[in-house]
Formats: sequence, structure tokens, C-alpha cells
Amino acid sequence: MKVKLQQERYTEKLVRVKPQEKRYTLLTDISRNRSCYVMVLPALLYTLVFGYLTLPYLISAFQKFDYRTGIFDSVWVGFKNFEFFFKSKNAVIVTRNTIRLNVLFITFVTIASVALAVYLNELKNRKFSKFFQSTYLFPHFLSWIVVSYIIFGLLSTNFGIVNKIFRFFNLKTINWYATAEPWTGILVIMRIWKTAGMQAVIFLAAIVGIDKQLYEAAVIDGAGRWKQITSITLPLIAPTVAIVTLLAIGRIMYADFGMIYAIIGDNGILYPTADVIDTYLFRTLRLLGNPAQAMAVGLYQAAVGFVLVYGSNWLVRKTFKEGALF
Amino acid sequence: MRKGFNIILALFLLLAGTQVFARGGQEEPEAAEGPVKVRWLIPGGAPLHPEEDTVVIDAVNKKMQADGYNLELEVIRIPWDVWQQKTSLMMATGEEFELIHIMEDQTAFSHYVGQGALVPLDEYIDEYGPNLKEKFADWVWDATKVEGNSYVIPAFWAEQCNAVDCFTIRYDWLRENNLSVPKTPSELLDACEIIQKNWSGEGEKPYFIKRTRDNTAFFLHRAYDSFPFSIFQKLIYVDQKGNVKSWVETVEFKKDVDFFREGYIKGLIHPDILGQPAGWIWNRIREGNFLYRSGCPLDLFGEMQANNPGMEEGDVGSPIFNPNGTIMRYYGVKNSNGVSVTSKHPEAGVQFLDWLYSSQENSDLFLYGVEGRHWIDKGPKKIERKRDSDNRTLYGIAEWMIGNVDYIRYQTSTHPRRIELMSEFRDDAVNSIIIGFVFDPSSVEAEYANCLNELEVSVLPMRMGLVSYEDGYANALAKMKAAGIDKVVAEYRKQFSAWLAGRK
Repeated sequence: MKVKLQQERYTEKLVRVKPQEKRYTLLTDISRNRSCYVMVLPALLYTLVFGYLTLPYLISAFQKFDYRTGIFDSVWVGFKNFEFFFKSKNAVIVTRNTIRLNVLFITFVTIASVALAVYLNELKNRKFSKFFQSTYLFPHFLSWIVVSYIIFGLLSTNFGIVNKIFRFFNLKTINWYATAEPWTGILVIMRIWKTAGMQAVIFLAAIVGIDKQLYEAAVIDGAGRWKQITSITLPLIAPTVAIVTLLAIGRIMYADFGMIYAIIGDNGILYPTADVIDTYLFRTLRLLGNPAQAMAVGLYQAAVGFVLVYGSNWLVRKTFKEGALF
Repeated sequence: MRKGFNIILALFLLLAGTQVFARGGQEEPEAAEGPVKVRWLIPGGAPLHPEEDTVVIDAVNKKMQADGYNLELEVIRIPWDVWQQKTSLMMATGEEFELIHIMEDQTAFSHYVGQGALVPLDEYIDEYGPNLKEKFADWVWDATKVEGNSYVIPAFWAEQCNAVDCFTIRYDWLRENNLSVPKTPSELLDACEIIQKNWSGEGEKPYFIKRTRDNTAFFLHRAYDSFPFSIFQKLIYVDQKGNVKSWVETVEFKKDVDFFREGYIKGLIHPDILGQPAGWIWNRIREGNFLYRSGCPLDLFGEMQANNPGMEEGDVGSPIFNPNGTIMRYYGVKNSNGVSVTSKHPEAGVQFLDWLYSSQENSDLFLYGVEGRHWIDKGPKKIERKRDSDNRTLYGIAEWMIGNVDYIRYQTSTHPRRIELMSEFRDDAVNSIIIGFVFDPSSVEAEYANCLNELEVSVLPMRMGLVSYEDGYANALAKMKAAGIDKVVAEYRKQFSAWLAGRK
């Protein structure tokens, strides 16, 4: 009995002196991963300043914005700033073009960059691999202005390489800059040429991270190169592909202004296929310079982009949970 | 605990953000101890030689101090592609600067005024700008006013009546082909056709020089019976009696389109006219490899000469059609500088411009740099700029942004006739009836914006000759009507009539 009592007291003492389990808070995490947080600090500050501190400015989309009074005292005009965009028949055309071009860009750039990443991974000769990787990356570092000169060199009516080839084969030449239809394809090709190399690097990094034992096991089981790609490589990089695609869908309402304006410029004949929201805005507002109207269309782009990214993520979460962003 | 922290963080962000964007009107000027800053916003890239820029700005600041102006100048260059966005953002967030350059063919100063971006300057000019008041004629000052207040100080860098409605053509090519100087648009087309046909140079044959952003074809209008008349923003026609019409619906517009269409069919306009990079066009001008170029009389003659050894002054000319007709001045203010509402010292911008326009010496120092180091005086209105090993000037501020016609100097290679045309004031010129009238589009803003857009989409291909009037007009007109051109014209007519009545 005495022993039992002593044991109970001892246990009680142990319970009493047992240190309370420390809560794992954000500060704990920061103190444990200081260097990581230092590295992420510039991105956090950038997001804070440009992503959050600018949010109140959204209200100007509903105001007759006056620089003297700022957002609190400018006159409230409701949806008047949206009128110039939504009253115009061009709103439908440029919205359709923006979405169509971006869907084509996302689809074909993703296909091309995954194919490129797999191809580079399969190249066993390191020198060749490095050479091709550098070659595919190079266009990424060219500005769209330079690219527009390259396109002009290819497609100009008199001295363009493409028309010279057509002439050589006695084919009818095309006045490319006065024909709207081919420009969807031309823009997609140039987009792939310029951006697929960089995106392939992301997918290549994902492929390199795949456990080599999986491939060794597959070889033992008799799988060839193609089987390894379809059964190991592609399924395992699918989450990365899904995340990159979801992020791209979030910006589906934003066209690459630098690209489209450098290549298409003020060529009204090409607008039926190549005019997008951003170029339309630039063209319309460069003479008026009304920031509230620009904000109104920006808000429209952001709202649709938000719905699309949320919807796409919901769809991905239902069908392929690993690929969902949130 | 975490929820509370999140709420506090959200409130902090909101407050911080609103503090950035909210301003309860202009703050009282602070008492200045040292020199007062004059930050001048201009479009353009970084200077080629930043160290030389510093030398000049230091010299300007010293000279201002010596002249009794307690100012310190800073030139802030903003790249062209983000000019509109960045300046809007700077003003919206209250970033302080004193002066902003305004280009009427980009964003009219009246739009800035409508958004409350500019300070009315009359009282500052009265107090701080004695030299400014005398520098510009009354009709020039009238063109800077909205509702009776002056909002900008003009950069009157050229006599505009000579700069707009001429066309530049190579007289040596005319002589080689036994052609006389064209007196009518059809003679110009015929001459260009012969020149192009007989051209035997290397590379691409010469074409019309035509850019998508070019102004209306003023040089053609002189040849029309209905001349003189004015065109506002390629949208509205106003004759000298004050009749207002939609420009695309006029007979004169049809004549313009027919001229360029004929040029296109004859192969005188480049087939890729809408896709040519700007650099390609400028190279053709510098090479002198063009059939004609509108406006800009005898511009870049030095470069043409360098690319065509043996070219003499008489080998290029900038004639006008109907030289005995009215000499018209289309613009009152084409470029100007306004004072930002974000400035705590609006008087500083006015003081700086007053100092700049007070003497040739001050203008030379700011526009061309330190004499001897950056340029050499080559006599009245002449200059030789010093260059680096790549033949780039060591320093320079674009004259069209802030120069004054009385002080601007020209390179020794400039065609002497150009100097006359650009700098000599013409007493016989008639001002366009719309000089001094400022259209406020705010009540038809949606329609106005959509019409400007539609001009680029459906009217531009006709203006460039790619689409004939017969094929393009009905469609373009329908689109312009849908965009609201009738409403815009009616509003312009209403405001213009009221303004005219007020003048009488």
C-alpha cells in the first residue's frame, strides 16, 4: 500500500513537472528557418506593396477620379467608367481574342515545353543536352521588339524569307500584314518559340527529381523508353504541369501587351484576330489617359481571372487532387 | 489570438493603402530652407552619357543660383512605353514632382485638367513669370486656357504653320526624270510613279513615307477648293466659318482616301505599310530613299547628305500645294509643360521656365550643355554638337519638349531653308479657328473613346490606302455611328459654338 502510494505521488510529480508542449507558431517557424524567410522577404514585400497596399485604389473604378482629392473625395459615378468598354462592340471581340489566344498559348506552350523537357531528359549525351537546352532558352532573353523585327524579316511582302520561298516554288505570295486570318497561328508559333524553352526548365527540374529507382524497376520489368515516359515521367510531373497551367489560367484575361503590341502595333487590319483587351485599352486610353477607366477594365479582367482560376482549381481538385493549388 | 492578429494586419494594410491614395487637397507649401526642387518629368530612356547629364544639371543649378533663382533642377525620364501608366500612378499616389511634359497628340492638356492633375497657373505666372508673359503672343496663351485659366506653359519650338502642310521631295530625282515640282496631288502621284519606275539604286525601291500615327494629310488639304479647314483628332472637321462636321463623312476625307488608294494600287505605298517597324521608316528617311514625306520640312537633311555623297541644298525641297492660298496655323500649343497638383511648390516650375526662357544663354545651357564641352557656337542659330566615338551627342534635351523658337539652334548640317521655315514667324498666317478652343469630352467620354478606337480599326486601313473608299466606307461609317460619332460631333459643336459666342 505504502509502495503504491509512493508510486502515485511519483507519477503525480512527474505529471506536474512535465514541461508543457511548446506551441509551434509562425515565430517558431521563422526562428528555425531564418535564411528561408530572408530569401522570401523581397517577394513578400513586393506582394505587400503591389498586391495589398494598392487594393484601396480599386475603388477609383467607380469614381470620376480626381488627382487633387484622391480616392476618398472623388465623385462616385457607379459603373460609368465601365461603359466605354461594354458599350463598344469591340469588347466582345477583344475579350474573345484574349481568351482564345491565351487558351492556345497555354495549351501549345505546355505541350511543347513538356515534350521538350522529356526530350532533353532522354538525351544521354550531356554536351548535346546542354547545347539544345541553351538553344531553346535563348529566345526567352530576346525582347518582343527584336522578335517583331525577326517576324518582319520572315513575312515582309517584298523581301521576306517566306514569300521568297513561295516565289521559288511558284506559289502565290501573301501580303501577311494585310491578312488577318494567319495571325492567330503566327502568334502561337512565336509564343512557343520564345517561351517553351524557359517553361521546359521547370518541368525538367521536376523530372530530375523523380526517384531513379522507379526507372530501374521499370527496366527490370521490361519497360522500354516510351513506356517509362508514359508510365513514370508524365504521371509524376503531372502535378507540376497542373500547377503551372492553373497559374497561367489565372492570367487568361491578361494578354501579353509587350508581345502583341510589338508585333501587331497599330495595324487595324489584323485586329479581328489579334486585338486583345490590353492593346484595346492602350489604344483607347492613350489619348484620354483616364486612370479610372483603365482601372474599371483592370477590375473586369481580375474578376474574370479570379473566377476562372477558382473554377479551374475546383475542377482539378475534383479530378486530380495532387494538381490543385488550394 | 491568430484571428485578432489577422484583423489587425488587415486594418493596417487598409489604412496604409488608403494613406497612400487619399489626399485632402493640396497641402500648404512648406517653408523652403535650401534650394527648392524642380522635378521635370519627360518621356524617354536614360541619357547616353549620365555623367555629362550630371555636369550640365549642376551647371544649370549653379547658374540659377547666380541669377537669383533658388531652385534645384532634376530631370526624371520615364520610358515611352510606360509613360502614361507611370505618370498617372505617380500623380494618383501623390508622388511629388513639379513639371510634367504634355504632348497634345498623345494626351491633350485638357484631359489632365479634367482629371485635376494640373495646377492653374495664372497667379504664379503673374508673380513668378515676368519673362514668360512676354514670351508668348496672346493667341498662344489663349490656347493654354480652360475656363479662363492657363494650365500649361507652351513649348513654342517652331512656327507650326510651316511645319505641317508641306511635303519633302528629292528635287535631284525630279530633275533626273525631267519632272517639275508637283503642283497638285495628281502631279505628285504621277511624278512618284515615274521616279520609282526609273529608280536604279540598290536594295528596296523608294516608297511614300507614311506612318500609322501620322497626322491627317494636311499637305493635300491645301489643294482642295474648300481649304482652309481644320481637323480635330482625325475625328472632327471644322471650317473657318465655324461649321462642324464628322471628318470621315466629308468630301475632303474621300479625296484623301482616293489619293492614297491610287498610290497603293500604283505600288507607291509599301505593301507592309501597317507592319513596318518604326526603325525601318526612319532609316529610309535618313537614307533619303523615299518618294515624298509629309510635313517636317527638310528634316534630317544632314543625314541624307551623309548617305548621298554629293547631295546639295538644292537637291531636296519642301514645297506646298497652292502656295498663293491661305497660310494656315493649325496648332496653338502642340507641346507644353504643366505643373503637377502633387507639387508642394507649384511656383518652382513656373520660376524654372521663367529662368529658361529669359535668355539665349540659359536656353543654350539647358538644351545643349556646357559650351566648349558639349557644343561649339557656330553663329546665330547654329551649333556644332560634340560627339563620342560612336558619333552620339554627349548631351541634349529634346527641343520640342521645352525649347523656344527664339533660342533654338540648328546643326551646321541643317538645311538653311528649314531654319527659316521653323524659326521665322509668319505675320501673313491665319490661325485655325479652333486654336484656343479646348474640347471637354467628359460628357461623351465613352463615345469619344470608342470613336478614337474605331478610327484605328476601320478608318486607318482606308487612310493608308490598303482599302478603297468604295470597299471600306460603308462599314467604317456604320462602325463609327455605332461608336457614337454623332453624339461626339454634336457635343463638340455645342461646346465650340458656345466658345465662339463667348469670344464675340
